Amino acid sequence: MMQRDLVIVGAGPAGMAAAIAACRAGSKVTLIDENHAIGGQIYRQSPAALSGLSVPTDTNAAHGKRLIDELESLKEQIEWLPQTSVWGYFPDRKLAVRMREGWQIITAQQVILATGAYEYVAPFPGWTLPGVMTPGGAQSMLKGMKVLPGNRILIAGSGPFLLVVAALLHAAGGNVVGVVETARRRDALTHLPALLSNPKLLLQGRYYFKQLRKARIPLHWGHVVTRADGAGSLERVTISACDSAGKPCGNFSTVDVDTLCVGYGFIPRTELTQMTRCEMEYQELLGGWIPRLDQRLSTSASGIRVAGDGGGVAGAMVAELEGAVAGLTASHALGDLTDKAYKQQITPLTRRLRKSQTFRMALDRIYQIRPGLLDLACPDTTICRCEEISRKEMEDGIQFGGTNISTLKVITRIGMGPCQGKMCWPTVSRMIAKKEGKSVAEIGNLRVRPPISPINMSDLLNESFIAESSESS
Amino acid sequence: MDAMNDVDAKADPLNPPNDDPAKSRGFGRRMKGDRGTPVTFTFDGQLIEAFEGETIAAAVLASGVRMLRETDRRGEPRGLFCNMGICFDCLVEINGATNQRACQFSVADGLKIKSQTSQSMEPCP
Repeated sequence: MMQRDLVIVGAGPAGMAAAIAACRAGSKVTLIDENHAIGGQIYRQSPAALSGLSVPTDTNAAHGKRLIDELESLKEQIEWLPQTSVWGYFPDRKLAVRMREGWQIITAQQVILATGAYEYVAPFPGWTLPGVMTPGGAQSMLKGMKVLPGNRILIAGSGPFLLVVAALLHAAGGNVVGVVETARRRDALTHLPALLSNPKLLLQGRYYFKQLRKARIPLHWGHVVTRADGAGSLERVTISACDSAGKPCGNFSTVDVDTLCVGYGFIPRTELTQMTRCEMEYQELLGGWIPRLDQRLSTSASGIRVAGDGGGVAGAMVAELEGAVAGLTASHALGDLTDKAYKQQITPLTRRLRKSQTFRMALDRIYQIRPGLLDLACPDTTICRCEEISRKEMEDGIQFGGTNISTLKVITRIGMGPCQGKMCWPTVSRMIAKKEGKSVAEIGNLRVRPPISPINMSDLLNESFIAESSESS
Repeated sequence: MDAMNDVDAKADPLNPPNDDPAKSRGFGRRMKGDRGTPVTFTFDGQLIEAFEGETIAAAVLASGVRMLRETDRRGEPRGLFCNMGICFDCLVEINGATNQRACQFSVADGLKIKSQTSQSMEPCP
C-alpha cells in the first residue's frame, strides 16, 4: 500500500491548477490521469510520436499551453502517474488505482477529485449510427490524433462549445455545413446584460461568431436534429425548427453529411465522488448530480475536495480557479501552508470565482437542456446504447414499476452495460420523472460500485502484485 | 435550411467538394505533415497502415472505415462516439482480447484487430 499526502485525480485544468498551487505551497503532490499526458480533454496533448505535427488550435490553446508548461516545470517535484485510472474508492481515502503494471491501493491524507465532465446527447432516431459522434470526440480526434473525423460535417446540439468545434474543424479543412443550436437567438439576447459581466469571455464568443460568418458556416438558432439516416453509416441528417422547449415544430429539411457532431452540454463525472459517500445534490443547470461543496470546495466527506466540472459544469476558466482553491486548501489542511499565507492567497481566488458566477449562470440558462429533447426518441429508438434498450422497452419497464434505477435495471437491463449508465441515465431519469410527475432529484441517482473503470479479473488476481504491495505497507 | 447544402466548399482547397457519393463517404483524414514511424496492423484481415502514437480508433477512421462493430442484440452498426473512453461503443477485439476500447488503445506493429459481431460473443467454455 502506498501512503501519500495529497492525491489529485484528473490532470485537466482543475487538476493541473490544484497540483501547481499545492506544489508551490510545499506539499507533496501525486497526480493521476487516465491519459498519457497532462491537459485533460480541453487542453489535450498529442502523444509524443505525433507532437511534431501542427494543427489549427482554438483561442484557449495558448492559455492551456502556459498552464501545461507551468506544471511541467514542477514535474520533478510531483509524482505524476499517467495512464492510471482509479477504479475504486474505499473508506478513509483509499484509492484503488490501475497502472500499466498492475494495481495498487493508495491511501491519501487529502484528496482532490478533478474528474471533469462528459457530453450529454439526447437520444434521437439514428444516433447510434457510425458517423454520429460528440463534438468533444471530434475535437480530441483532431487535437490529439491530428485526424479530421469527417468530410462533410454538421455540428448540432447546444452550447458555446459547438462554435469552438465548428471553427476548429473548418480551420483544419473540414467542410462544416452548419451549426444547429437548440437555443433561440432571443434566449441569448435576453441574457446579454448578464453576459456583459465578463467582457473577455463575451468577446471570445463574438470571435467565434465572426469566424463562422467568415467561413460562411450558417448558424441555425432554434433548430434541432430530429434524425440521422444512412446504410451502415451516416449519410443524411434531418433538421427542424424547434420551440422554446426544444420540441420540433415543423419546417423539416435534410442535409447530406458523413459526420454529425452532436452534444447538448456536459454532465459532471461523479462516480468516484459518489463512492466517497459525500452528500450529493441535483442541480439541473450545473449538469445534474453534483457533490454539495462549501466555499473551499470541500465535500461532506473528510479530506475530499472536488474542483472543476466534476463539481458542477462551469468550463475551463472556473475549473482552473477552483483547482487553485482546492489545492491551497488541501496544503493548508496538511499543515504546509500557514493560516496567514493561506488567507492571503485564497482571498483573490474566491473573489474571482464569485465574480464568474453571473456569466456562468447566464450561459447555463441560455443553453439548458430543454424538456422537448426527450421526445426526439421514437418508440423503437435505442435509449441505452450498451444494452440496446428501446424507448418502448424502457417505458414498458417504467409501467411495470421500474420507477427507480435499481428496479428498472432488473426489469429492462437499462444501465447494466459497460458504460454503467453514464450515457443513458441522464435521459432515463428525466423520462421517469416526467412520467411519474416528479422531479429528477426525486428519481435519484445511479448507484456506483467498484470497479468504475474496466479491470481484468486476471489483473485483480495478480498475486505477485498483491504480494509486492502488501509487503511495502 | 437549404443554405447548408448550398454552402460553397470550393473556396477551401484542402477540402474540395466530392461529387462521387462513394468517395464522399471516405471519412477521416490525417492532417498533412510528418507523422513519424509507420506501423501496420490488420482490421478484420485487412492490412491498415498507421503511425506510432495513433489510437486504433484514429487509424481505422483515417483508413476510411466507420463501422467498428455490430451489436449483440439487434446487429446494428456502431462506431466511434465519445472518443474519450466513456461510452464503450468503439469496442473491438485486440489480439484475441474482446471488448477493448479502440479510442483508448494505441496501434502497434502486427496487432490483429477484429470487429465484434453478434456472433462473436460466444459464452465462455
